Amino acid sequence: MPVGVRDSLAYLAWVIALLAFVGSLFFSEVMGLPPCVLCWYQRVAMYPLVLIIATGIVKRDARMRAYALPLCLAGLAVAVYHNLLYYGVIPESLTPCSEGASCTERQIEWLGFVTIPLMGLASFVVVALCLFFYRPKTEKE
Amino acid sequence: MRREVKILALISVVVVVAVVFGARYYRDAVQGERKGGANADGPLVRPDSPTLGPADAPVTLVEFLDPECESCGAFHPTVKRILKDYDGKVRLVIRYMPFHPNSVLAASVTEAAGEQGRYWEMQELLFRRQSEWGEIHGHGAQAGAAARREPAPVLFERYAAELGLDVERLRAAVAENRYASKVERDMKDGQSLGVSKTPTFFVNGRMLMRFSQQELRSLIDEELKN
Repeated sequence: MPVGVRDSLAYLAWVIALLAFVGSLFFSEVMGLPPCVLCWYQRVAMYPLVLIIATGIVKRDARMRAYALPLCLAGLAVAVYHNLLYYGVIPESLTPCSEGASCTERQIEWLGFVTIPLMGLASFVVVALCLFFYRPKTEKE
Repeated sequence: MRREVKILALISVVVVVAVVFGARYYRDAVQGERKGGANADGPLVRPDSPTLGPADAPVTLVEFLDPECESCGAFHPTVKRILKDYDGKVRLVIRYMPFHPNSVLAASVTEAAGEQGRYWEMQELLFRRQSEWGEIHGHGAQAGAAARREPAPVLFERYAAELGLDVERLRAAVAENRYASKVERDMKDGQSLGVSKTPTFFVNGRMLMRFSQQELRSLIDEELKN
């Protein structure tokens, strides 16, 4: 992968994290959909990424990856679990959501397959891949 | 400014603007929908729903409320003020959405007071004295404070006596559970209309999306213009 592309991957990761941040707030605050517990855990991982990645970009700090990736992978793990529950791979009786919104209730289904947990999973996967391949330009390049 | 900062700032501004417009568009789109018929016996207004104001008022304001809900209590004087300000132009219809432990009982007590012609007085009294009988929030405080309290049914009977009601008759009506099915039906109607919190208002069938006095008034104004 060309250096320029690898450098701009941070921007892509940041934009995805930003959209996930804004989008999740849109779902809960504007559309009034109650977030389930697993959604909250994913938010805990996703929201800081917006600031961490932005700081890394501005500071041209390659170590940003080391700070952001663990957070992103933790979120990814929750997202994977959430999707397994949501699509019935893990039986619902295992769900930790006893209060508030059910983690398996289908609130949105765009184009017949785009659901909120799927969007969450996709965001974490893309951000994780971007961070993994990200390499900042050095001054020489 | 650094190039990176400029790019991030530019994207942020674009996203923020998109969200602000998206939110406005979404609210207008949803608020524009009419749910049920304002004058029909749809799920929005039932023939036996408590009503305040002239039947031929141009605007029907339906409030889904919970007597034990703090926001409903806090907002109640505002609703009354709106009715006064729009003198004769707004008709208020009460529907129940019981979300708390004593909600159904409180709703039944209000209805039973209505049998004796004091529905609105009882509703107002229950809201005003909510802190005496309503749910105590916060786990630590709960046990101790609840123990020091008189049970809600006792308090309700005292309120009834204060209003000069026939307490025996009220007690009998509540004990008979005469209004439980009505409250339950309201809850089902509310759920089918997408009511998930209290208070939720419908102005001529249009749901108030953002809860505030100003938004409620502007929705009423809009309906009066039509």
